[in-house]
Amino acid sequence: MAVLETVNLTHLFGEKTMNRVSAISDVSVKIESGEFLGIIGHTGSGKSTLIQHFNGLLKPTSGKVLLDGKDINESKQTALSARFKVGLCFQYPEYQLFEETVYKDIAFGPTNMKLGKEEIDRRVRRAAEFVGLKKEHLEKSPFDLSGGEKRRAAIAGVMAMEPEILVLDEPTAGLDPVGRETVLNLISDYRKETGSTVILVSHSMDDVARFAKKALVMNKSKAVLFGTVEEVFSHGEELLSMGLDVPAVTRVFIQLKKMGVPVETGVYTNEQGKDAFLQLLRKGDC
Amino acid sequence: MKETIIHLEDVSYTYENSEEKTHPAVHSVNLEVRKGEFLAVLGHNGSGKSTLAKLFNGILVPTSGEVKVEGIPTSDEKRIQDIRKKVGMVFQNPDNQIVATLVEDDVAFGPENLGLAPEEIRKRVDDALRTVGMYDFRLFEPHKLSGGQKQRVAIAGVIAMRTDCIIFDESTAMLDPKGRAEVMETAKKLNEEGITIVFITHFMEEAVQADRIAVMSDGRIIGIDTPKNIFNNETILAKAGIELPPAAKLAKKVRESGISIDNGVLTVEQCAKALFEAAKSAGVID
Repeated sequence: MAVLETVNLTHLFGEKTMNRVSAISDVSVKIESGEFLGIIGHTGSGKSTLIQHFNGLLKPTSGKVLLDGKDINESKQTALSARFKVGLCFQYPEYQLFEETVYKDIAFGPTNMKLGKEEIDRRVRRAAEFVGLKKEHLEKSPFDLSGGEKRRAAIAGVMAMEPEILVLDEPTAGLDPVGRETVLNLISDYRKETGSTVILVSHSMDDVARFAKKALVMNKSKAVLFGTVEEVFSHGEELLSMGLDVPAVTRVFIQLKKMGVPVETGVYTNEQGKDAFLQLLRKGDC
Repeated sequence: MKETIIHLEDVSYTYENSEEKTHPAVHSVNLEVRKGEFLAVLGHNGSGKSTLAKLFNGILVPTSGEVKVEGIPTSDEKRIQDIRKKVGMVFQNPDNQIVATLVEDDVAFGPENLGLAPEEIRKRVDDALRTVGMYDFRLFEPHKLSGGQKQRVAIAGVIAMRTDCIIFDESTAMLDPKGRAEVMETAKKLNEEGITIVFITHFMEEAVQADRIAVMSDGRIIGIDTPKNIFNNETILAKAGIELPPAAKLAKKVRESGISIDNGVLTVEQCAKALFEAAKSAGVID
């Protein structure tokens, strides 16, 4: 069963003004429980607006968001429960760290959920472990952490709410390659261990190709492609024309095709690229 | 032998309130930035590359050693304005370097401070905005621009000072793929016009487009050479924890399966061309 579903979801900004723009338009997607979904699209495509509907931060202009089959905007209770069931981690979440200690910052969400002290403590320590922060980090001021550590502390704050669905908006933006790998791996491990649904918003097709099973492509406020990563990447040229950062190997194959080499352009990992090329060479032998 | 524009001799820098006094952020660096070159600086977060950048135009003055810009030591406080007129800087966060409420006012900020005549300022601002392709946006409010556009306005602000050299301190790190490409294209265009570029980045795909790459690790420059030589030097890559550019990874995989591919393949274009040649010599295509 779909844990999260949008039905003809539309959101207009400045609805009552002359400058009305549709940020998302008629988006209908079903996200299965335990799935790892990547949402791709360039700046302004509507991906951030879309995810802010997932926990009721934004209300649809028209259409619905269903969580476990229920409309989250039906009543105050459903809206509140959506806040806890769907954990949203924004871009550059470290800018939102504010407490005196890392511990208190991670505990902020669970405390708002009115949980018992022991439960909060358990959650904080578990979340810290997920993101690889040590005991001594917890007593420090969040501002004394390195950039990468701050980012992970902020992600832990959302994980500590133990949401059914964890949504991360560009969790690797601005990090160096090592930092990016660390964050992506910890998210992937978190999903495997907790069985939660994870939604990753990213510019990087490479990251989505490596970690997600399914992908949703947003372009000009519409959901243009939705399916398994294989299905979505078989539209390499289309993705390129939307200004997306298609993996290098896909771009190599698109160029080869343009040069008149009979290759498929649906490859998105180097391994596939190598295999496809070797297969092409073997054809020449017979 | 090309002329040197920035000369670093045995430069070290230690942050004053750093806990590890014995551990300089930049350590015994010798470097000559050649006039007219495009030099990329690669390295992890914390490798010292941003500290190095700030030493180039006297934002930081070395704890020991000397930085000279066209012969003027950056430690000479009286001549700091002369140095800033020669070496400009574009920073990481586009939102932190825009000061005015109109694009053209922002670009005019620097030249106005030089006390130039109004006609001269007008001319410089218009020229600079045309160079970065933002002339049509001259009457826009900066906050309405995309990240890549804001960075181009910041670049225009530097160009309007008519500097000989521009340092890009991870100016693409916070941008989406489109914005990154815009900034890179602008930097390359300026370089073709004779401006020296120092491009600090952790994106391999950007670094391969430079004339030379300097690799930093633990405060030191551990290698400086052409992209081809750097990316074929396993020792340097391993020590700095640097990955191959994505297209070079594919080329390497194919090469390891026994197909002859030149080891200078670094970009998507080069990789497509090399695979095309390999397919041709295998008789798969005419």
